Amino acid sequence: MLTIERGRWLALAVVGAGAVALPYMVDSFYVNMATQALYLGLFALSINLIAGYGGMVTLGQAGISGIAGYTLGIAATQFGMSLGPALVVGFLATIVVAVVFGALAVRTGDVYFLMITLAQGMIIWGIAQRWTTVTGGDNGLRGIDRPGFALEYWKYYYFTLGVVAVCTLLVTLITRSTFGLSLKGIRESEGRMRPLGYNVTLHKFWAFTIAGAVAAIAGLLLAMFNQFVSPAAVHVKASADGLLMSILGGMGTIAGAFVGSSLFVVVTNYVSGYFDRWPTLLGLIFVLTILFAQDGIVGAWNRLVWAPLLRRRGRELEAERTVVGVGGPLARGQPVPASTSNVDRGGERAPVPVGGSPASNAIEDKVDREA
Amino acid sequence: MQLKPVEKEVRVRATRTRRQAIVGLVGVIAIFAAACQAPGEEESGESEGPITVGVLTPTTGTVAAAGTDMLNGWNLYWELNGDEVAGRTIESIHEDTAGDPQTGLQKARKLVDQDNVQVTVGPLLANVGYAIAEYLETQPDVIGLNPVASADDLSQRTPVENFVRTGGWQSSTPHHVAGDWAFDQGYERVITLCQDYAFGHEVCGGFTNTFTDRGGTIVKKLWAPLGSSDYSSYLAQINPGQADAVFMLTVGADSGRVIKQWEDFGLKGEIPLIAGETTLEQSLLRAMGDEAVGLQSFGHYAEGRDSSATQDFVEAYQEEYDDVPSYYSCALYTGAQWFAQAVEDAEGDLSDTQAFLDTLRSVELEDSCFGPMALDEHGGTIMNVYLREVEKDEEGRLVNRPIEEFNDVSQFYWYDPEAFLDQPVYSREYLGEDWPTSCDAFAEDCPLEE
Repeated sequence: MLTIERGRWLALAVVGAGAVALPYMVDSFYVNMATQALYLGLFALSINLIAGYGGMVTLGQAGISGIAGYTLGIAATQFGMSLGPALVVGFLATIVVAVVFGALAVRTGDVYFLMITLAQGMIIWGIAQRWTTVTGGDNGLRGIDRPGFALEYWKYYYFTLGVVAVCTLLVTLITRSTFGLSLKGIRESEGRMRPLGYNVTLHKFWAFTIAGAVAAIAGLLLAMFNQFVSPAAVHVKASADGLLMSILGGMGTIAGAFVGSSLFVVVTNYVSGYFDRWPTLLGLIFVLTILFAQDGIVGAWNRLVWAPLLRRRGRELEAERTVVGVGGPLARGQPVPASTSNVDRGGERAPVPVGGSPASNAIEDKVDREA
Repeated sequence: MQLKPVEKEVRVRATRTRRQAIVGLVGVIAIFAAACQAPGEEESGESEGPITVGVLTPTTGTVAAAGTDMLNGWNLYWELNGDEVAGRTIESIHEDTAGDPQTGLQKARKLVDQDNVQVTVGPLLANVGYAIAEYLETQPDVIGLNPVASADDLSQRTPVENFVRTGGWQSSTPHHVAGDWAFDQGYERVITLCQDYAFGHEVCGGFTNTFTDRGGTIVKKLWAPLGSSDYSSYLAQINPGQADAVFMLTVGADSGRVIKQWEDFGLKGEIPLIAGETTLEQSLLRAMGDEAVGLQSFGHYAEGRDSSATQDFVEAYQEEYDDVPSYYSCALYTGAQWFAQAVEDAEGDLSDTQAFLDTLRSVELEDSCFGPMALDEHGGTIMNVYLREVEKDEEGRLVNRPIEEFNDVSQFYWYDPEAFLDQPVYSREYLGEDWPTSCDAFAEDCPLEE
C-alpha cells in the first residue's frame, strides 16, 4: 500500500535516481544547467538558513560566497598553490570573514540587518573591483582549475551533486536539531525567546557562520565550474538573485532553495534563447509568487497539496492507532469513528482528558479543524 | 502471530529506518557507478554544409543598446553580401549575454554544446570576454571571433589561441597615439579623469605612458567609479590654471553626464579636452546636444571618415536601422567581413581548426569601416587611429569627423614588443609613468630626453 511516508521516500528516490541518470539522458548543455542549479541551490540554501529559518534577510551573501572563489583564485594563480590546499584556504578565509561580518551584523535586526549585510557585500565587491593587482579588477581572475578527477562536464556534475547532497543533508539535520528549532523560535519572536533564557545573539551568530560555510562551498563550486571569477559574482545583484531564488522556492524550506534555483537557471539559460524579454518573465514570476504564494512554490505545495493529504491521512492514522489501542481505553478490534478520538495529532502521546465529555470533545475537534 | 501493539510500532519503525538506509546506500552507489562510465561523446566540425555561428551580444541589461548595435552590424553584413561564402551558408544563432560574465559563459556553453556552433562572435564587455576566452581555451575545436572586447591582455600577456581579434582593438592603442599627440600640441601638464575599472585603467595607462615618455607630467589623476551620477566633485578639482589640458575617458551613460557638466562648469573652451574612444562614441552622441559639438577625441572608428568603405556602410546602416552606426555596429560588420574573407581563403574548409585559425590570422583587410586592418604576430590589431571632432551634419545629427589620421598603429606603438610585454598590464597602480628608463625599450627613435 502506498502510504504517505512511503510516497515521500519514493519521491525522493525518484528525484535522486533522476539526478544520477541525468547525464545519460540529456546532452551536456542540460547537464551544465543542472550543475548550475545545484550550486546556486546550495547558495540559496545558505540564504534560506539565515533568512528563512533565522528571519534575517541578507543582501550580502554573494560577497561571502565570492570570498571563497576569489581566495581560491588568488591562491591558485598568484601563489601557485595546488587545488587541494587552495580549496582549504578558500574555505577557511570565508569562515573568518563570515565570523567577522556575523559579529557585526547580528547585533542588529530587520532592515538594519539588511543594510549592514548590503554594505558588507559592497565592500567585498569594491575590493574585487578596485584591487586590480590582486583580483584582476573588472577583468576578473582566470585560470582556476577543476579537480583532476572531475574535469569533464559530467564528472563535474557528479562531483557537485555529491558535495551538494552532503551539504544539504547537514543543513537539514541542523534545521531539525534543537539549535534549528530555537532559531525558528527567534524568527517567530525574539522578544519571547530572550526571557526564556536563550542567547538570541549567539544563535544568530552561529546561524550566520554556518550559512557562511555553506555559501563558501557554493562559491568554490561556482569558481571551479566557471574556472573564472569576476566582480559580477560578488555584486549585490548576485546576492539579490540568491534571495530571489530562495523566496521563489519557499523561505524556510530545504527543497525550496533548489526549486527556486532550478526555475531561475531555466529562465536565464533556456527561456532566454527563445524569448527576448526573459528578465520581464522572471520579474512576472516573482510578482505572481509574492501575490499568490508568499510562501513560495514549495510552501504553496505544502499548503495546498501536502497538508490536506496529511490531514486526511492523519485521521486514518488516528483511527488505526485507536484501534490497535495505543493507550486507548477502547477495546481492540472495534472500529471507532475518528471524530470521537482524543488521540494527539502527532500520534506519539495519547492523553485522555480526565472527565472529557462528548461536548468538550466536539469543541476540541472543531478547534482542531480550524487550526 | 499476533503482535503486541508496541512491538508492531517498533518493528514498523525499524523496517522504515532500514529501508531509508538502503535507499541512501543505493543512491550513493549509483552516483559512484554512474561516475565510472562516460556518457556519449560529441562529433566535431565538418567541411561542408552550413556553418553555424553563435552571436553573443548583450540585448538586455545596462549595455543593451550597444549590444543591439552589434547584432545589427552582424546581420547587416550578411544581408548586404548574402549569407553564402565559398559554397557554404552562414547561419547565425543569437544569444543574450546580459552583460554578465556568468550568463555570457553559460550562453557560450549553450551555443557550443546544444547548437553545435563551430564559430562564436562577441561579446561586448571585457570581463565577459575573459570568461568566454577561458572557456574557449578548453574547447580547441571552436573558433572565437572577438571584434569588440578590447582588454589589452587578450593579445598581449595572456592571449587565447582560438579567440581572435577579427576587426577588434586594444583599449590602450588609440590612446598611445593621444599621449604622443598631446605633447606635440605643447601640452606639458595634463589632468586625467578616467573611469575606475579595468578598461579605464588601460585607456588612461595608454595615454600616460607615451605622454610621460615625451616629458609631459600628469599633475592630477582622477578616477570616477562606473555609473557615477554626478561629476561635479571631479570637475571641481580641475583648475584650468593648473594644467594645459584634460584627458578624459568615460563609458556609457556616464559620458552623457560628464559632457553636459563639462559645459555647465564652464570648462568647455576654457581648457582643451582630449577624450578617449568611448566618451564621444556615436551610440552616445545620439543622446547628446550642442554641448558635444567641437569636442575632440581619439578612436579607431570615425563614422565621418571620407572613404567609400565607411560611407557605404554608414548609408546602408542608416537605410536599414535609421541610425548613424556606432563603433559596435562597425565592429561586428567588420568581424563578419573578416570571417567571410577567411572562409573564402580557406575555400570553405573549416575541418582543420588549426589551419583555419592560421588563415583567420593572416587576413588583411585593405579597407573596412574602420580603415585598413591586420593582425601582428601576437594577435593584436594593427589599425588606423583618428583624431576626431564632433560636428553637426546637414540633418542635425552629431557625427565624429576625422581631422587627423594615423596609419598602421601597432599595439606596442613605438615600444619594443618584448620590453613592452615585460611591464604589467595597465592598472590603477601602474600607468607606465616612470617607464621606460632607457632607450632600449623603444623599437624606433627614442623619445626620451637624455
